[in-house]
Amino acid sequence: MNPIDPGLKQVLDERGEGVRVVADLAERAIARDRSNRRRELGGTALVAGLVLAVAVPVGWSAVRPTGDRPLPVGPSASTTAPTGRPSAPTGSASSAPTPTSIPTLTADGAPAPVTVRFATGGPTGTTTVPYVADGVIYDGTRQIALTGKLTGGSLARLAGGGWLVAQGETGVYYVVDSTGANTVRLDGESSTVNADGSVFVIESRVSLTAYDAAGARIGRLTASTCDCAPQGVADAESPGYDAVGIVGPVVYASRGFTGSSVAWDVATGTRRAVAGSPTLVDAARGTALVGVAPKPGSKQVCNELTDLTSGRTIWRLCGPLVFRAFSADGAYLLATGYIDGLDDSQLGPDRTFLYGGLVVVRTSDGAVVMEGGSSSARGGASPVSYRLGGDGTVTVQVGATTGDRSLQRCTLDGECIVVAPGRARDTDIPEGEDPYFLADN
Amino acid sequence: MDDAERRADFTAYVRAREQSLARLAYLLSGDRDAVEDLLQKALAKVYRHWDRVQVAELPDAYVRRVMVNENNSRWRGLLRRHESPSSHVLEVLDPPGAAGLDPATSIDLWHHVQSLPRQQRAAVVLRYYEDLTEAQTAEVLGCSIGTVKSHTSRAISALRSRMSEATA
Repeated sequence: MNPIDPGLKQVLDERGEGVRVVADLAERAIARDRSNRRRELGGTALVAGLVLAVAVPVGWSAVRPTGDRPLPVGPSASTTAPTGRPSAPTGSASSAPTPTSIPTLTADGAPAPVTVRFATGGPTGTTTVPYVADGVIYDGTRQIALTGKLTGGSLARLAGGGWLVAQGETGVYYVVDSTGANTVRLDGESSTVNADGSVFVIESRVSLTAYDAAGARIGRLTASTCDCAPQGVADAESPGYDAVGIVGPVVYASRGFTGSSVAWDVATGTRRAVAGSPTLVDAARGTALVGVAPKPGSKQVCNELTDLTSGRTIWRLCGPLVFRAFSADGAYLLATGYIDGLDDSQLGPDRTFLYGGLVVVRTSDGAVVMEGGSSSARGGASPVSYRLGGDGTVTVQVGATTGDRSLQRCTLDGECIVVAPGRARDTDIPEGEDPYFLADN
Repeated sequence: MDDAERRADFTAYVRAREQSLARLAYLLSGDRDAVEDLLQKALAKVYRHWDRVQVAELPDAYVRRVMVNENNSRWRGLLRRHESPSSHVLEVLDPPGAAGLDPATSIDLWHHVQSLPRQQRAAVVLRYYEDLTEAQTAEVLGCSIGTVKSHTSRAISALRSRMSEATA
């Protein structure tokens, strides 16, 4: 399950083929280490070099799944993830020092109560989730043609009727007014927008810059403030800030390998530390999804739903799911079950995925309430991107075996209708850009 | 393990793996001068910690991780020490041209790969050249599987977009 594009792989292969080692690398490495040691013992000019010399091993142990990072949680009571039927987790806490137990659920591939049934044919309805396709923003019944050569790459609604649109994935963003005209160009690698579109941040070179809905800069959180590496590790070794969500004016960003995060209030400029590393933030209910470091030897992926205010863990869900987004109201989480490279213990008996490409998990109890869609490898309709909007339906970009992508709106009962027709997708490089880009907020 | 055994063990590993390590380093950095520095710094670090690396029985994974970290280091240029600037350890030859691939397209695609943000380029190289799984790539990059998916998707989208622009 590793789709390889022949062209890209060929180019990398042929470039690699041209590289030849013409010296004794081992001898040079040993000599270099000896030289490094002399410098360190001298301890004068290259303090930074010394830090670098110890940085990688420490960083390695900090991020390796087999590391000894303690889980920031108390005892757990385990049960299989409920499948749509709200039920209190069972099991009893062991004799551990903390008084509260964390309900721990296992997504073991038990059939969900609802299987999504994708539709075929032409459009028979609309969606409330805005999207952009081929240079046009579709917002309900409105269509807004983007000016210039802007075709889209990501989309977010901004307060005041504007939009934030990425040009492909080229690292260029435009603030677009209600008529579709570009007003501000911003450069960066990724964007995060709050729910009402009043604040957004652009991430660039591990620094975060916050803007208002007009694209005016509010503030900046530079990489130098990150302190993103564990003790003894240089910041240069760290991925730095990674914005994961915005609640009102507060930007949540993980801090490199530290296992902690920061809440940056762009209105006041204040920052406070947040325990754990959220991967998704839900503004509607003030919760966050936090990845859990695997226990030594464990092949299982676990995530916790936590309350952002109190830090309380609501539940822990373990299983082969990669969570992509909260629903607009925070009542559900959307995930995919397609994860390449899983341990056999996380696959079905016939080495197939336990879950389909779209999995909907209820946040109140961690129940898998709907799933479905086949992987492209197995054929059939394949969900490739999705958003659960304020109307309680999921808008899904569905890939057909022909390579076309359509948009469909699905209820949580699994019924789907087509809301935008199939569009061809270039197949020169797989895993690439799809024709539809659903709004992030 | 005494020092002589350690040296012999490390040397045997490097000699067995030097071509593939050099190629990975080149694809990560895309520049011959940079790759020599990257390769030597990374291997020096690996040697420093060889006892641990060897016990872990995953030297390739460790070396990949060190290389990616080194390549990501924003300060590498400032700290680079030209200990032997005139003595090249690598030759980088022009590619012979892959069968079935237009030479101009190949060159364009390679240039676009080089212009990707470092983490995205690393994800592409690890996934498409090293043929690592998403889970293995996540371990090397020190990020989640979801982030690997995101890096890869963004990189491929950017490549496709740039290739489309070039042919438009």
